[in-house]
Amino acid sequence: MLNKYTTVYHASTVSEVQTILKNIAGLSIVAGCTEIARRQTGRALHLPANVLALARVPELCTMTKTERYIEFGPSVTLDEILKLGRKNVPDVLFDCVSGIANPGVRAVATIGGNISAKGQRLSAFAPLLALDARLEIRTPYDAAWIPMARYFSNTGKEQPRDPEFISRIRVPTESWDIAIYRRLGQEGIVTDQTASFAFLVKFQKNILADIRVAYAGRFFFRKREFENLIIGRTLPLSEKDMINLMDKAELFFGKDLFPPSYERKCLFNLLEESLRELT
Amino acid sequence: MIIPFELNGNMVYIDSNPGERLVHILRRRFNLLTAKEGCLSGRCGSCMVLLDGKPVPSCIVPVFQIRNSSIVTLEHFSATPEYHDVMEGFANAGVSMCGFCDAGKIFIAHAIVSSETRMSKDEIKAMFAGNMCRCTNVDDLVAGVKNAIALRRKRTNAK
Repeated sequence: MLNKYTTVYHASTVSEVQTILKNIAGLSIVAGCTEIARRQTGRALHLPANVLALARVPELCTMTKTERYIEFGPSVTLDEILKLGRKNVPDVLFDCVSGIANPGVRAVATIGGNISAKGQRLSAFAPLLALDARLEIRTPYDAAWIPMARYFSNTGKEQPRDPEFISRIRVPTESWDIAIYRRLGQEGIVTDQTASFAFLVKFQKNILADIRVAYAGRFFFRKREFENLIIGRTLPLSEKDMINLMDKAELFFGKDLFPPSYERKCLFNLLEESLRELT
Repeated sequence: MIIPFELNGNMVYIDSNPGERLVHILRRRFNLLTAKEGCLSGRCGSCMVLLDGKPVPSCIVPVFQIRNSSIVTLEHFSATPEYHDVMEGFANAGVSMCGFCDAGKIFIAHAIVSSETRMSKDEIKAMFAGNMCRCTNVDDLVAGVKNAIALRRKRTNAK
């Protein structure tokens, strides 16, 4: 179906974006549009009635690096992130971005689009969740920094909010002793089985100082309670610890939150495989 | 919606449905047939064009995204010396050019040859991940790219 009545709004500054958001109701924000293109096979893409294109807003296409974090504009393409090199990007994020689609698609797809695609969570979601990324959310009137885990509802369902958009993504660049990223599903394409898993560990001598576990697919999880259960343990973990932790994981990633399925089994396999690195 | 963009060095304006895929605009409005309609999901590389100098599958780009951008198709690119470096490099490596995914192979090779970073064999192979060529094996493509890099270096040094 051709969507002749789609109106596309182009902004050239962030304040223009805010003005458009304030004045036009029911806007859909897009950047690279690769996710829209992926879901459709028709001659023309069926777009919502009102579209706000952010891909060409220069302020949203910049990257900044400080000693403690790296900040991306949401319209930074995945290709540009890879060009920074492994030294400048956290390992899990670099591994994840380099595995997304192919170089042609990565030249168009944006990091903001990757994390805010509706429905199925895409590859960069779990690594950013695990890295404790913070998002600068702008409404027509103000801006606020919100941890990514808090911004997206924990059940994976969309929350109704005022018109707003992500204007910066701040990713801490602290180093991790173990950084594991795994992608489930067919390589290079997104299907219902596609999910991503990130596992980060930091030691101090033989004490586990910090651990992060995140999973994102049809559902996404980052359970601080589960992480806190492991923090402070002496390494290497014993077989008894492993059994105990996997039993606890069954409780934390409960069946009400994540129904029994192939994906759930994959999550537990990945978790067990990752925890084995600590034995 | 009126969309201005630069196509093969000329400024053009089209009145189009904003959701129309770029590959269809190029083929149907401008009769630029080197961008082939393939998978329509950015995986086969047969519709590759240079969008602001970067190789991009034109099937995943809705036309409103190309506003004020520069598009180069293989028709225009084939008149440049960079094209001849790539083609000569491919010919020396025995790369088969059946015509269907030529745009993908040539633009990806051009991107690698023009890149400032020196890529390993595996990195070059990874660059061709978005090009499904059934006539040539990827090792020949890598050899072709290496030949093209040498030719490009020779040409720029000669200047």
